Amino acid sequence: MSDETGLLFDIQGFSFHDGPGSRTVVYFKGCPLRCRWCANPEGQDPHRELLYHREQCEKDNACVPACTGHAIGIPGNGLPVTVQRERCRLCTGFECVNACNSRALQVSGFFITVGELLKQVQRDRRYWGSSGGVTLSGGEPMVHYPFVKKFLSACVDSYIHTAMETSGHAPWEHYHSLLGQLDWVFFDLKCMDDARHRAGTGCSNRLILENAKKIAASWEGRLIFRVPIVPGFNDSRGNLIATAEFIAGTGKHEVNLLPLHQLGTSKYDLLGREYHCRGLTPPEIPHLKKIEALFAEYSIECYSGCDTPF
Amino acid sequence: MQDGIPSYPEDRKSASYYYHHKPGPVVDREIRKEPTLRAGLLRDIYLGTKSSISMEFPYWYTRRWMELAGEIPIIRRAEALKSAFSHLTPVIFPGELLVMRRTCYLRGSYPMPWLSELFLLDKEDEMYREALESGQFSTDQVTKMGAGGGNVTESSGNVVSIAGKFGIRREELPILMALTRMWEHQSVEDIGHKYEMFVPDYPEKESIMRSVICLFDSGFTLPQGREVINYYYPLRYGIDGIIAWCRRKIAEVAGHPDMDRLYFYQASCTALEGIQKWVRNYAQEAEELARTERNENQKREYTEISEALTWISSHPPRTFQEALQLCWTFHVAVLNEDCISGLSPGRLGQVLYPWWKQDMDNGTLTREQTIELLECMRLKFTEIDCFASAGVIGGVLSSNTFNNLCLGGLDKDGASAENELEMLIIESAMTCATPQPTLSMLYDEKLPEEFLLKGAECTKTGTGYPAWVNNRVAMEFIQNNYGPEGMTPKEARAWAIGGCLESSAGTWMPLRLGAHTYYLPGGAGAATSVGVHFIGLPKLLEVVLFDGMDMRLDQRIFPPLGKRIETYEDLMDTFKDRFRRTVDLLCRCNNIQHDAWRKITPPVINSILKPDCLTSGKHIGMMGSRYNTTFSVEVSGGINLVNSLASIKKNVFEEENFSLEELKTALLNNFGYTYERETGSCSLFEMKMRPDAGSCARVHTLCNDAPKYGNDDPYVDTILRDWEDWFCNMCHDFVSLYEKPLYACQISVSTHGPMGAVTLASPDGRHAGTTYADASLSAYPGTDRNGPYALCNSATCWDHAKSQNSQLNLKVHPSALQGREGTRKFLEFIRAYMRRGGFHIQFNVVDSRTLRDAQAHPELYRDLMVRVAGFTQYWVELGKPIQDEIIARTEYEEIQ
Repeated sequence: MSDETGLLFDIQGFSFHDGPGSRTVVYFKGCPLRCRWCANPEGQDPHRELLYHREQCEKDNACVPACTGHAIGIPGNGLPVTVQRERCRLCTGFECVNACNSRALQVSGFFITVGELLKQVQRDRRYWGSSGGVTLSGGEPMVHYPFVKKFLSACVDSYIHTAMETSGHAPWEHYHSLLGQLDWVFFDLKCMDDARHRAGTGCSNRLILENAKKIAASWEGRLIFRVPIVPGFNDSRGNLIATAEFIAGTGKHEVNLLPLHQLGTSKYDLLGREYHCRGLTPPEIPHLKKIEALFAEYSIECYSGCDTPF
Repeated sequence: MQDGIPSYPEDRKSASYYYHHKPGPVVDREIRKEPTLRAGLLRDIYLGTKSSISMEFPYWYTRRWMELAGEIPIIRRAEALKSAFSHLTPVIFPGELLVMRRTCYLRGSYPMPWLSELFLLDKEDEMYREALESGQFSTDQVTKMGAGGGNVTESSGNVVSIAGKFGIRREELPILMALTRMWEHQSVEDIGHKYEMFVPDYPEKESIMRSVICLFDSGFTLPQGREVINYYYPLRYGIDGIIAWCRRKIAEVAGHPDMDRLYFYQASCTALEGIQKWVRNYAQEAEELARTERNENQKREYTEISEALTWISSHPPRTFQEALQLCWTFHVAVLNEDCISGLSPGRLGQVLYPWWKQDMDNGTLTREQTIELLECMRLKFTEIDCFASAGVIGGVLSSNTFNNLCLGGLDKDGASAENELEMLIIESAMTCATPQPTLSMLYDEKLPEEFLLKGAECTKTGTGYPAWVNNRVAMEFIQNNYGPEGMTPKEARAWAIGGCLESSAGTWMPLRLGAHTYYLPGGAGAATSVGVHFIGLPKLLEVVLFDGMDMRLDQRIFPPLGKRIETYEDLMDTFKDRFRRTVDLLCRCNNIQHDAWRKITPPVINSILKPDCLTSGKHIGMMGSRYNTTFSVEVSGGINLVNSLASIKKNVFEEENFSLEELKTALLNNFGYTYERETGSCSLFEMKMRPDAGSCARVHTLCNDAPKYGNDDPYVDTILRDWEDWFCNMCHDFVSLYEKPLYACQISVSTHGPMGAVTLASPDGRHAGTTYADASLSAYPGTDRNGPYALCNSATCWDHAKSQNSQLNLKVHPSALQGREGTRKFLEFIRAYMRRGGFHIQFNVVDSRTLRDAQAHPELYRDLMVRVAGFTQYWVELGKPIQDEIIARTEYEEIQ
C-alpha cells in the first residue's frame, strides 16, 4: 500500500452523526473484521469491486467481450450474467463497466491521494459550521495507516477537527503514532467474549481490548465507545454488563449504541454476497432504553443511535 | 458503522432500486404540533371544501361596466368594482375570528372575462356537454371529486368542472357563458392581441408560443402579483381617512393639467366606498348571526366581529385583531380586483407589531390568543384560490397563490428587524401547518441565533417553510435594479419576497402608536414577473439544434441558419442569437398586452395601497408606484441547458464521440426509449429501453456520463457561470412598457413540468417529455453524485445578486436532521450556503417512501405537504409529473 494513495469507497459531506458538528466522512475500503451484520460490506475487501445491478441490466451482454479477465459468463435463457469475482480482484481496467450501456455495472472503490482528499475536505469545511470536521471511517481506516498518518497531519496543519471511527484491530504502534493528530475517536466494542467475538467478526477481540485500554490511558482526546446492538449476538445482559465494566475500567464514560439496521441488505446483492443477518429484526426502543439504564448504573453516558449530545 | 448508501446511485438508473425497494421503516417527521381546537375545526372544514366558482362578482361588475359605456375607463372600472363588492354575499363560518372572503364560497374564486375570455369560449361546448352528461349521475357520485383534494377534476351531479380544478354549479353556467360572450372583443386579451399584431415578425411570436418555447402571455393572464402589498394607508388613516385624502386631492387637481389625477382620486373614492359597503355587509351578517345564535360564546364572538368590522369600515384599527382583520380585508379586496398570484403580505409580523405590542402591554392579549389568531390567519390565506386557465393554474402555480410572509431581515437603521410576534408567527406555522402563507426567512448575520434556530426547527417539521433567503444578496440586487429610480441602501432594507421568490422593492412608512414611532416595511414596487414569461431553455436549444424547426410539431419557428454548426462557439452564438430574438419579440408583444391591461382594467385598489400612487395621483399602470423596473425575463430549465451544453461540448466537439447529426438522431428517438406518454409515468426512473435502441443507447450513455452540474466540477460550472453572466446582462438590453430595462428572474415555479412535456430528449441525457430540473439551481435528479456540499459549491459559482432570484431545492430525509443537535447542524449548513453568497435554499424534509405511498393512497395523505420549487402545497393537489419529479429529486439521507 503506497503511502501516497488510499482506497476509499465513499466520501460523504453533510454527515451529522459522526462526531461534533457537521462532518465530511471518509470511508476507507478494507477491514480486518468480517462482522456478520456489517452494513458496509463493500468496505471489507481492500480491492476495487464490481457492483452489479441485476434489475436494470438490459441483458445485451456488451460487458462479456469487454471483460479482459474472462470473469463474466452468460447463463443463457435471458438470465443475468454471472461474475467470477475472484478474477476481478486482479483487474485494473474494469472495461466491463464502460461497455455497459445500461450502467448496471459499477465499481466500488477509488484511489485518492492525500492532496486530493485534503482539497475536497478544504472545500467542505465552510459548510461544517464551527465545530465540525472530518471523520475517518470505513471499512477500517487503519488498514491504510501510512495514508491516514499523512492525511491526519495535513488536517492538523490546516486546523481541521479530526475524528476516527475504528474497529480497534490494528497494531498499537500505529494508534500510538496517530493519537496526537486525533481530536476524537469512536472505538467499537462488539463483544466481550472472545469466542463469540471470533464467531461474529472472524477475529479475536484481544488486540482490540488491549488497544482500547492503552488509548484510554495515554490519550487526552474524546474517546467514545460504540457498541452495535445485534439481537442474539451481543445484547445479552451478561455481555452488556461485561462491556460496561470494561468501559468503566478504562476510566472513560461514554458509549454510543448503534442498533442493527437492514439498510445495507441491497449492497450484499450488488456484491453477489450472502447477508447473514437478513430478516433479523432491529432492536426495539424499550430494549435500547433498558441498555441505556444498565450503562447508567456504571455512570456511563449512553446515547442510542443518532440521539447524541454532539 | 455508518451506512454508505446515499451516494451509491452512480447514475440515475441505479437509483431505482434505491427508491423502490430499499427496506426499512418509514421515518416520520420528528416535530409534530397540533393546532388549537378552533383552528383544527376550521382546517377540517377547509380540507373538505372544493374549489368553487361564484359568478356574483363578475355578474355585478359586468352589469355596471356595461351600463357606463362611454365613461372614463378608470371611473367605469371603479364603479364596476364598487357594484361588485357591494353585492358580494357575506358568509361567516362558526368559529372564525377573522372573516371576509373572496366569494360566498370558502374556497371561492371566479373568472375575470374582462381580462381573458377566449379560454372560456373555447371550452363552452365541452362544459355544456359535461353539464348535460353529469345530470345522469347520481348525487352520491359527487364524492368522487374527493380524489385530488379540493380540486374538482371532473363534473358530477350538479357541479361542472372547469379548467380541471374548479367546480361551478350548473345553474350558474349560463351566466358565466353570457358574461363571457359580452366581453368578447372587449377584453384585455382581445384588444391586446389586436395591437400586438402590429409588431414586426409577429407571426414568429405565434410560432414561439405554439412550440411552447415560451409558456404564456403576460398581460391578460396574471397582470398583477409577485409583489408585496402595503397595508400602511388603511392602518394609519382608516378608510374614511383615505377617502378624505382623495377628496382633498380632487379639489387640488380638478381643472389643472394632468387631469388623469382627478379621475384616479375619484375612482379611489368610489372603490373604497364599495369596500366599505362590503365590510358593513359582513358586519350586518355577523350581527344577524349573533341574534339567532344560542351558544353564548359564539354569540359574543359574532357580536365582537360585527363591532370590529363596523369600526374598521371607517377608522384605523384599535387592536391587534382589528389590524389583522383590516390587512386581510384589503388583501382580499386586491385579489378580487385583478387576476393575481403572488400577492405577498411581506413582513407582516413587523407591520402588525405596534398593535400587538400595545395589546400585550395593556394586558388585553395573551400569547395563546395570538397563536389562535395567527392560526386563523393561516387558514384565511390558505382559502385563497385564483381562477386562471388550466395551463396557468397547473402549469405555473400548482394551485398555489404564493402569499409569502417574510421574517427577519433588517430594520430601517440596519439592526435586526425580528420581533417576538414573528416568533409566534413561526410557532403558529408549526402548530397549524397549511400551505399559505408560506414563510421566508430573510437571513442576515445580524439575526439572533434563537430566532434562526426557531426557523430551522420549523423547516424541520417538513412543511417546507420557511425557505431561507439571503438578505444581503437581495439588497444588492434591489439597489442595483432600482438604483436609477432612487433606491438607497436604507430603503433597500425594506425589501421582501413578493410571490414565490421575487425580490421586491419596499419602503418604510412612519406610524405613531402610543408613545412610539414605528417604521412599517411594505411593498413600494409594481408587479414583478411580468414581461417575458418562462422561456424553456432546453426547448430553445432543441429548436436551435434542429436549425429552427420544432420537430414535435414539424413546424418552422426560426428561419434556417444557412450554415452548419461547426464549433461549440458556433452553437453558443446561434443559441444566444435566437434567445435574444425571442426575448425581443416577446417583450414588445407583452408590452402591448400590458398597455391594454392598464388602459382597460387599471388597478385601483392596489394603487390606493401602493406608495406613492395616492401622493402622485397616478395609478400603478401609470408608474404611480415608487419603483417600476419590474418587468423581467423568466427562464426555466437552465440546469438542463447547462448540462446539455457540457455534453455537446465534450462529446461532439472535444472528444468527437459522436457527431451532431448522430446526437440529433438519438434525440429524435428518445435515446431508444419508450416515450413518456406510452408508459404513463413522468418519472425518469420508469423509462424502458426499446429492443431496437441500437446506437442510440451508446449516445445516451455518453450523454449521461458527460460532466453534470452539481458536482463542483469546473468543466460544467464554468459553462453555468458564463451563461448566467451573459443572460443576466443581456436582459438589460430590452425595454419594458415603463421604459425601464428588463432583468433576469430565475424560478421554475411548476413550469419545468409542462415545458419538459413538449421538449424532446435533451443532450444531457434527459428523456423526451420528462420534467426539467426544478428550481433554477437544483441538480437534475440523480446527477449530483458528490453530496450537498459539492452541489452548494456549484450553485454559488456565479454572483446571485445579478438576478432577482435563484433557487435551490434540497430534499432531506428527516433522519438526517434528528435531535436538537440536528437542528443546530442544519442551521450551520444553511448559514454556510448563505455565507457563500447563495440566494435561496429550501428543504423538503420527507421520506421518499412516504411520498410513494402518498401517490398510491392519496386519501390517507390529505394533509401531507411538500415543497415544490418555491412554495408549499398539499401533495394530493400536485400534478402527477411534479409528484414524480419530487420523488426522483435527490434525497440526502443518513441513517443511524
